[in-house]
Amino acid sequence: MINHVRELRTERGWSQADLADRLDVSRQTVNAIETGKYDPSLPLAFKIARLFALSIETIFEPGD
Amino acid sequence: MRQIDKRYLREFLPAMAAYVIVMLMIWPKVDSVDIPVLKIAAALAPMLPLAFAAWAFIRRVVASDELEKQMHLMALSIAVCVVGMACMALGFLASAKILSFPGSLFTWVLPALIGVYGVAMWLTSRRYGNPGFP
Repeated sequence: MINHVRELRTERGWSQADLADRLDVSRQTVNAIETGKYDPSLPLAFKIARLFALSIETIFEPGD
Repeated sequence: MRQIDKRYLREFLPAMAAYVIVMLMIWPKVDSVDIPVLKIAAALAPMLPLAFAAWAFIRRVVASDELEKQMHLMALSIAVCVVGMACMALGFLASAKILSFPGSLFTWVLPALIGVYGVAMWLTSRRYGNPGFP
């Protein structure tokens, strides 16, 4: 899965730790999502979408 | 440091300190205790702080986020399989009377589990892009 979490985070000037705090997850989890090494669960994907005020499909796209 | 990590250290470190104190102060005196009930109590005294440490670990795992839980599951599965298989192999060798072990060997099962879990957690952590522990 491709995601735009890193771009959205840096646009807002947040560090990975800032985003992790807002999502109540570890910084490692944020890093793993951003680098595409881990695909978040649906509840966490919704949480991310709500935080950035975007739809899930805007942030996450199916990979090939 | 995250709140759940702070809580874990707050609960785990005193438990381990108590364990060390018990092992240094009470356990060496087990042989000199003659009353059976007291002997059993003294021999099992280290279990109380260990139970608190185990409870702290369980609370840490429960409070983990979804990726951390996945990593804990993977690391614990590897630890249980590796140590379990080693115990079974030693058990079969002892049953066949090829090897014999002192009962104190059982006290190495938990440290072995913790050691293999630590290595497995480190490897799992690297898989998700971080060289350190969660």
